[in-house]
Amino acid sequence: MSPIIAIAGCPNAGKTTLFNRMTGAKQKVGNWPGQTVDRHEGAFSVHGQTFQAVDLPGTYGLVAVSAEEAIATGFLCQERPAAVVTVIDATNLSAGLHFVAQIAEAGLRQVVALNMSDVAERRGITIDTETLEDAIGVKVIRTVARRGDGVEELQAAIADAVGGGLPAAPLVLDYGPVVERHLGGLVETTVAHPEIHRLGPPRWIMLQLLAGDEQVTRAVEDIPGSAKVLTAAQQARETVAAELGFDIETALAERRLDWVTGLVDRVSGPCHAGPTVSDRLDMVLTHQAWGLPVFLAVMWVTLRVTADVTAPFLDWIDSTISGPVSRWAEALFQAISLDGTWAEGLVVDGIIAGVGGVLAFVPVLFGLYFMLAMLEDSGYMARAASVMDRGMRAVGIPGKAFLPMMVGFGCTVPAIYATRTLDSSRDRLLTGLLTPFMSCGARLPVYVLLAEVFYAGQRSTVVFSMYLLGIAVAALIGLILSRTVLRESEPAPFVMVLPEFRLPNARTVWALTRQRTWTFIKGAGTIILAASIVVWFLLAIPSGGGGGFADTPVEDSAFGGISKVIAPALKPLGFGEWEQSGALLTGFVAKEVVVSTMAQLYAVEDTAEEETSDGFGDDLREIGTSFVGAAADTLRAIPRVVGLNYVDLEDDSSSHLQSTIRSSFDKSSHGHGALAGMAFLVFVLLYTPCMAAVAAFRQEFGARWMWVSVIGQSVVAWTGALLVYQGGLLLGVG
Amino acid sequence: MRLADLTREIERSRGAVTVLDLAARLDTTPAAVDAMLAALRAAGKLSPDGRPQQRSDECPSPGSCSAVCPGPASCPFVANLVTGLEIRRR
Repeated sequence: MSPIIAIAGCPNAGKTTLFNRMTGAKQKVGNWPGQTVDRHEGAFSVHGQTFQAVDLPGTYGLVAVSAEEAIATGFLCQERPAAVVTVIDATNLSAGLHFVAQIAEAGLRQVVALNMSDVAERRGITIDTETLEDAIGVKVIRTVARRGDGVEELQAAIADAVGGGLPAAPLVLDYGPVVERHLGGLVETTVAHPEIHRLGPPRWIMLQLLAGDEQVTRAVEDIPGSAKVLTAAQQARETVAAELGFDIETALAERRLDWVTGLVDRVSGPCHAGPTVSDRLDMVLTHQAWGLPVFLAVMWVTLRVTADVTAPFLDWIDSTISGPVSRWAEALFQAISLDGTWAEGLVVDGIIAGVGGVLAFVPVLFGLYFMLAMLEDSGYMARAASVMDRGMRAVGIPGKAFLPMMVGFGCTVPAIYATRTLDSSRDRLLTGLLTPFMSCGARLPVYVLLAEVFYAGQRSTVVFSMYLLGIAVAALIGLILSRTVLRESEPAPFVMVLPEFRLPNARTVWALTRQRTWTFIKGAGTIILAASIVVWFLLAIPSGGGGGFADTPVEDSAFGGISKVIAPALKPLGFGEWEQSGALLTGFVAKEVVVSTMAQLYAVEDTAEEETSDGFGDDLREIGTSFVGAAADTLRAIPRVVGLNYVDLEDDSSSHLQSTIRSSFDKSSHGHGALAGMAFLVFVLLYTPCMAAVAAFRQEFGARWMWVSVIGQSVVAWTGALLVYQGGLLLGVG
Repeated sequence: MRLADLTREIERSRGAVTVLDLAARLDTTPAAVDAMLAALRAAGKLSPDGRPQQRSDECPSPGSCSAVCPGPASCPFVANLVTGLEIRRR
């Protein structure tokens, strides 16, 4: 049987890349027993001798703290492979050496792969591998797994280590007089139990028992007559903690830290590292006073890019869909003699108007996701989370709620699932109730459309206000709930480890932007498509009024009938027309559907205006010309993000959809259309995000709290919109 | 004892505490705090929270979220913002 070689180390040290380089195509993938985690095995040969390599899940040490780590530590401690390749990140030598020390203490043969050596060199980190080898007594090979550098040398070193045949001499660290006294006594108790020696060096076994390692404890329990050893270990654990004044895990970690720090000083020079550039930036960006203004400024720029820079492409897609694409569809129906039929109405007024109305906002969503990806990959989003955390704790919302809430800016559904990372059911529920108020990407098309209609020059200001209002309402509701039904518990302490600041990686930013935008486009092809078809049929079915199927006035349709039932409740909010209530009703399915429904309703009502063209070639020329115009306008809009206005880009033209929406809101509010539009936006921000979010909430918190959430959000939305509209009227605004 | 002091400082904080905060409280450098955290993590004294496997692998309902996204476990909207480390109690 071929000797088994474990590839182990901390997460992100490059284990899997190195494993792939070592084994090439000779791999097989299975599952670890009783786990869903993939087990990757492969083979490699050195001088005719074949070795079986196993790629282990990442772990920081031999005391597992998660199911995946338990797989790695279980394999190392119980299977005891012929040798371990300990992969350590050369740019983070200290973390890797803690693992090396534990493998060496366990008496396992090992070869150290000093991976990412090229990155370390570029950062000016020098490592004296000879001194390192002398200190730990094992071969250290520099590798760059990404390029395959050092792989052959590493394989040869493995063959030498295994071929030596002798067991590795365990590393012995001095844990200080108190621990050593008890450790010595415990090792003596194992003399009567030679079976324990088969598990590993007795000193290491006793160290693991003292550290409370559950896997080693279970292995010792299986040895007949070992109860006395376990009892002695437990007593020693308690006595040591009492003598030292703190627990034994900390005492062991302290001594290993001394050993690692001393070793790093010897092999890499003394570490006098003061604050790095990233630390200095953090001092400003997470500062108690400056952190919040910086966060608001970053959000402002993000939303200006989203709403203003991408706007020319929004107009381009909108005019392409409502113009040439609709004309081509009509021409196609004419060619097959189906023009004027309900089928043409379904495709042109239902599907193309509905789905197209939402697809027009793809550039806006692309802009948002691009900016969020830049902020995430640079490390700024983590700082924003830190700033939000401080503010949220001040109003009684648990600190860890920042994570679901930041996720909520993208989509509410994963944000609700992300509440699982919180400790108590109270914290999970409170955060779950608040995340829907974070403005998700799906609401953005509604903001941009209404802002374009009523506040064309202030588009980004309106969008920015909506995002801020969402945070403010969440804080207010959180404050109320944490003082009443969900009283605040003592927040669990934790360390927030922020990633280093770095220049965003173009590939990562593109991948994130593409994935998220594609999810939005897929939504248009599924949920929005289905909703558009349902709405069209409801608009086509007569309900009490005159006309037949697909030939009834829209206000007399089934959709009109349902919408009219709800409309009176919205009259005090300034948008009590049935078209507006109908759009909000379908918005329960998904927020983008508000836009597609408006596009359908007003397209159906639009019979006066028909654009014509001289043919397919003209249409293509028009699409091409307007694309070039949109690209040029986008380039000219970029300096405006930071307030530089070289060219006047204000566009006085508005689409038919926009002017119809304006008329509708003017009518419903008796001439206060802009104010009613703002109240409508506040309602869209605050009411239930979508059916998927409701289903996710039910799955996480049960039906009762789901209803509390849905009804509560509707009440908050109605109240918020009422305050905006009636308050605005009282103050004479709009 | 440095690590005992660090552990006490973490436990004393209500909610989140950053490496910079800890460095300031212990009058040391952020790099030294990073090294101490690495030591506690290797000893199994600190465990990361918010791991991906804690999220659900199932979508809320067929035809809703599942129709347009790969599910919460690999949802593109879930950002990996920060690592939270908690003191592990046994």
